[in-house]
Amino acid sequence: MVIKILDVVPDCNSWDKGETVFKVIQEAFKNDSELVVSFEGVDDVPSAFVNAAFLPLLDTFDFVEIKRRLKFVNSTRQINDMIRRRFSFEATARAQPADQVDIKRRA
Amino acid sequence: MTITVKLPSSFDLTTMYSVLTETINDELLPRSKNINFDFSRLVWAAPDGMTVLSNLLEWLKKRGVTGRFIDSNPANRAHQYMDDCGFFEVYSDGPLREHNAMRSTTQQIRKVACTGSVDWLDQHIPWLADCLETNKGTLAEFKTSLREIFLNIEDHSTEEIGCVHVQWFPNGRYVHLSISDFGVGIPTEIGKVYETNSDAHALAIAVREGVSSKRNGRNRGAGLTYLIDNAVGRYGGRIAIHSNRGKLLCSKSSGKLEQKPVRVTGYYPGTLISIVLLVDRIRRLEDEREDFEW
Repeated sequence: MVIKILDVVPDCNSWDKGETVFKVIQEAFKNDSELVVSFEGVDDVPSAFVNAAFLPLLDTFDFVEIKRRLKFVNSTRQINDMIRRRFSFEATARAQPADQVDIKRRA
Repeated sequence: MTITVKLPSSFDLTTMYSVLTETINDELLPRSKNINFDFSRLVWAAPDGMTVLSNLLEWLKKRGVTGRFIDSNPANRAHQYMDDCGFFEVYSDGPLREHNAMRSTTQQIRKVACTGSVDWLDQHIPWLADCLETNKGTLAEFKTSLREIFLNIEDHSTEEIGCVHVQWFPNGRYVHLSISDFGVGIPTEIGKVYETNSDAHALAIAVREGVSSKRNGRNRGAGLTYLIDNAVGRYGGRIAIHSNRGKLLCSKSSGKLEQKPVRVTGYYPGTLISIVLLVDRIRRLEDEREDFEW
């Protein structure tokens, strides 16, 4: 299945737009063995959009499976780098949930 | 009682704290309800000076303080520059001169609401690309970095407005962009969630990926890391982040990203981010569509 982002939202400038995209992604990911997401017409995305649109897949699927089944096409260098950065950080953080030793959260 | 704050001869990141200290007391309140800003000594207003003064005036206005300008001089070249950037039109009774005009080396000083930041970026990135002798595609990461700053302002600041000023120095072959918000400051926010031993320490923590003062999960703490990785790491520029009683200096040395947290004796209300990009360090990249590889 191919989902064109701009068929779902008018732009990719915010968390809220990402949330809307995720609802579609989530359904498609349940039903299809491979999901292709097209960024045709989108030149760049902030981290908030990626955080909302794609990272929640990690709540249900492991990163290995996501990498196998989720593809992005008609994208740009910046978009691809942002997706890789966010997924890489989030997947690593979930696998190693402890805070960094020298940063302590308040109770 | 009216007090008078004399602006320094050169208003920039090194001299701004004296102005802030004369304006804001130790309880972080304005020193008076009526403050005159004396322009008589000012002969150079750096982009940061413009942004600081704008931010300060907005901060004072929010607290019911009237700020007036005295001894501004239409014949003074620094005052002319500020006039041409629209400063007096925005913050005073009107322009200083009848025939002020925007210069090719700068853009209008602007308060940018976060909701308007996408349009601001779409308008200004092509101009920045021309100044830096590159193309829009090369600056895609820088454009997103600035968008991240605005999104942080939206998430953390009660005003959701940033003051932005940018100047191109063709002789020096660099662009200087300065952006500030009117929030409580990064250290104040970070200190609510993390244990810190100083505001400088708080800034060093805040720029680490994944660190966010928001507990609701929407802000994943990626913005400042992304800004530094790109403006410094990718483009070879320099960043200074000033907030509350700390500053963080970021640069690249021998190919390595360096961050230096520094305690300051003055106080900055909100957060100021100062970015310098150098023409000769920017490697042109083509603006091509590509598919994704994990």
